[in-house]
Amino acid sequence: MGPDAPDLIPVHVITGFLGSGKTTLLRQALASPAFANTAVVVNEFGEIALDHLLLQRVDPDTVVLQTGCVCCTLRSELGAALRDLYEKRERGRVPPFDRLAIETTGLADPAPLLFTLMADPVLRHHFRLGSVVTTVDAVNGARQLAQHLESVKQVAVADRLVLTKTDLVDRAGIDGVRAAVARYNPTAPLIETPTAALAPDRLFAGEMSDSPSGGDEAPGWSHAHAQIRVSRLDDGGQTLDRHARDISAVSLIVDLPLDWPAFGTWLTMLLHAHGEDVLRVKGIVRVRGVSAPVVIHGVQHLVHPPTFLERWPTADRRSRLVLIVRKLPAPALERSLRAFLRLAPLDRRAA
Amino acid sequence: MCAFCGALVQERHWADGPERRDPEAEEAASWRQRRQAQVALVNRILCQYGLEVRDWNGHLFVLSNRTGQSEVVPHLATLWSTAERLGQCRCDPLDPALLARVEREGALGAESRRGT
Repeated sequence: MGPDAPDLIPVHVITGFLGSGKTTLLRQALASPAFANTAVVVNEFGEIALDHLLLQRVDPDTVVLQTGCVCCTLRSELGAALRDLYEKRERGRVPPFDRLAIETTGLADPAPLLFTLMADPVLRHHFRLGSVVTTVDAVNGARQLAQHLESVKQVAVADRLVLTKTDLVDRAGIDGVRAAVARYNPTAPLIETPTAALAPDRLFAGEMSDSPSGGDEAPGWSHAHAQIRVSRLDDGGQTLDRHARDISAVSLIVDLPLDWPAFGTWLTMLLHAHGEDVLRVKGIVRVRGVSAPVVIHGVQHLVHPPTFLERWPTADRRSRLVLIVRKLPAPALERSLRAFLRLAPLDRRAA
Repeated sequence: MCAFCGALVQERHWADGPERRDPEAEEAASWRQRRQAQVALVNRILCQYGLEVRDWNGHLFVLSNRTGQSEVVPHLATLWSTAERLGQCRCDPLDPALLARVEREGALGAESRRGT
């Protein structure tokens, strides 16, 4: 949406499980010239805002939300904090920051936070959702994903993933975590640190709607050849949490251009009936009558306004949708989408 | 606000379709055509529940049941919860009974169009 809404302030969200390196990542980003003029909002879990002390030296515009989990109890407080920050910016009481970074608690489900940013009637006229970056601990990440639904949700909503502490794990361990992460989010690019240098400007470049645009950054989009590809979770020798076991990534591929009325009808109805179980929707689709590829992003009940890409990221121009779902059978999803698309008049139909 | 009926013009909803970079570029005729296609398609789902929807001014929907009860809904995302209330039903696109009927309709539609 960048070119469409140049005046809106991007809000980048940094999330990740406890101890996964969120604050380190944020501090690195803030130290970069590319991240000058950034206001920071930190949500603390607990009585002592230790991270705030760390960040305060970096940026004086930190607003600390003091009362618990930002996603469970502080949506209105977050909205109020952002409105207050914007008002101060407009009145010249804080420097005219160009972007905002929010660090969630390690136990947060980020979906309600994203919902607040995208749906708040005041905020969405001043701010736009930027990138959602999720840190995953290479040492403990696989176990956390297996045991904590919050960790799964944090990974599922990410536009970009940062695998931290890779210097403490051997290659096989890293590959194991990568595989665990890919089960829940097969499309987000994953950067290994500290083996790979972090480039904050690239990490937070663009926004949600831009994230699948780089073909080299989005392997999940290019190798999904099967008509329907399902990543089912197995124990792999570990004991998965019951909730984590129920989650799967479903890829749906449609060969012909989509009829938008049929697709919109299907997706609104699906999110109405099962929105809480659709953790994430991402897609690049070819829409009948539209030459540019259309990008779709959704988090649970909320869908970001679809945007256009300048070009297709790969030579494959089929529509590709990835749904991270809980307890929704892939064959039923595939059958349902196909049935709705076949309702379109023949001259507008996708197979 | 519509000068004739006083209805508030709703902001564009994502389900209305991808927004052109220049909204003025989309001609009214094209918008109306797409809107009609949307209404026709939604009605093929809603008939499962004895409901019907019609367009109002190109920006709102009016949803009605068989007893004549009607409600205005701003966009598709809110239409389904209103439909459940008016139709005393559950609107689920994964419902096998709905899918069986929709699949039959899709197949019959294809056959009849091939025949003409």
